[in-house]
Amino acid sequence: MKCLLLSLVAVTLLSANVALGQPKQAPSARDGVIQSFARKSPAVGEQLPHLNAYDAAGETIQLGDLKGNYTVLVFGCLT
Amino acid sequence: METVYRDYAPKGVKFYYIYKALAHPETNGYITPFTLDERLLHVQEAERTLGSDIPWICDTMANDLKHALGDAPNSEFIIDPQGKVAVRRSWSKPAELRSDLETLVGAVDRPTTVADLNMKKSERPKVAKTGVVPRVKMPGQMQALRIDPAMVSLEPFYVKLRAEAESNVPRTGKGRLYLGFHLDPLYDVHWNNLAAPLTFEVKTSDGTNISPSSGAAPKVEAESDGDPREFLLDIDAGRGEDSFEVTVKYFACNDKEGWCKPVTQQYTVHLEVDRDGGNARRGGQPAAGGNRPGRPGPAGSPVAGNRLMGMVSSVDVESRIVTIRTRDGGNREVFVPADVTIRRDDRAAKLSDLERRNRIMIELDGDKKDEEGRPHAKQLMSRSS
Repeated sequence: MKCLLLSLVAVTLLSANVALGQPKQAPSARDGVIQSFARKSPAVGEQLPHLNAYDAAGETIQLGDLKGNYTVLVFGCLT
Repeated sequence: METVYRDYAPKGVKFYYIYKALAHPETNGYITPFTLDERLLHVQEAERTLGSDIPWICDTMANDLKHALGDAPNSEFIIDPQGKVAVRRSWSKPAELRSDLETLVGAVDRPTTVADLNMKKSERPKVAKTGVVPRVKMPGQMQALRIDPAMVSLEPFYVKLRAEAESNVPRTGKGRLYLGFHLDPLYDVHWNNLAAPLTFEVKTSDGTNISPSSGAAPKVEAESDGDPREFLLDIDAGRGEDSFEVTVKYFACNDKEGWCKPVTQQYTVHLEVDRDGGNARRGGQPAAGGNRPGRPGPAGSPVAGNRLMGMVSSVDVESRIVTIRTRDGGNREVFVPADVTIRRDDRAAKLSDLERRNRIMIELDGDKKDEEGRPHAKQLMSRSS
């Protein structure tokens, strides 16, 4: 399983469509993540939850305030 | 992702990466941060190493966003202008994202290609040589354990503990433990091998045995290096507490700032899986899913017929998972569907009413299990005393 950073580097530098960002774990584990995601994440049409987070400078922001435009959110990390 | 951003940011679409807990600690030396400041430094590292202009949102140290948005390592969402989820995807797929945005916002005349990008990436320079001290050979599938560093001073944890255990340890209290002390690259430190090697000491409650209860890293000939100091231990928690204390002493050096000093730091290690602990990959020896909760115990745990009895160990209301400490000392996880009848002290109750150490009896719903292998509850009864 690769995280976003590696995915992005791979996708950016090698090929836009190659699924290098995908996990290399056993299919069953990945299926577990997918099923768990389907159960736990907000469904299409649901409001984004009101949760505190931080911008890169450490200032508190509200996730629920992301309105007014279409917004793309992608989870990732350094590894 | 970057090509999609280049094409759709000018059309008013906002893009954010959400920085979450590390999926694979130890990769490129990065290890789980202990403080928000450290996680924010990770965000800076991600900005620099990726070279992207897409801004980052940093998750809380309680991983609230990760948990609330589905607990997947690389998921993506499109939020509509009203703040509602328009698209959700468990794994980011830039090509599909582009297709979604073409539908929602409109196609671009000339889509940006990877060849059009000129991203400036920069790697973090290594502070000291690695590959000097051999890594320990893990005994098998390991899971990250939850740890609490003792924040008793302003001194950062230049060296950070990663604790793992064989997958049966949180359930049975017995098995092998891994204690790895890793230099945090954020602090540009290296080991001072001219001084005494790192030492650790474990303190347990009565009834818990950990062997060895102390140890010292090997003496290294090279003056300095950046390899982790690792130890494998045996634990038998017996009737003892579900946690133990670790004290570590080491000498660290920072050449940039020109210091070398002795450091003593402490941790509490809990015998429970850290669901946000990620999976460390060590030369083809992946640890088992820190993202995955512990699996139910084997057949033979105290299940009377189709009932499970014991004491409440923990309740995850959001995921509707109850962990029961059975009488043999093992932990069993049960998924409690929303429509299950719950009674506490002979009254109708909610899952959130259950408290640790409540006595509990769960009638299981046949062989029904969730995707993680947890049995489903059919009925749940609890007593507060």
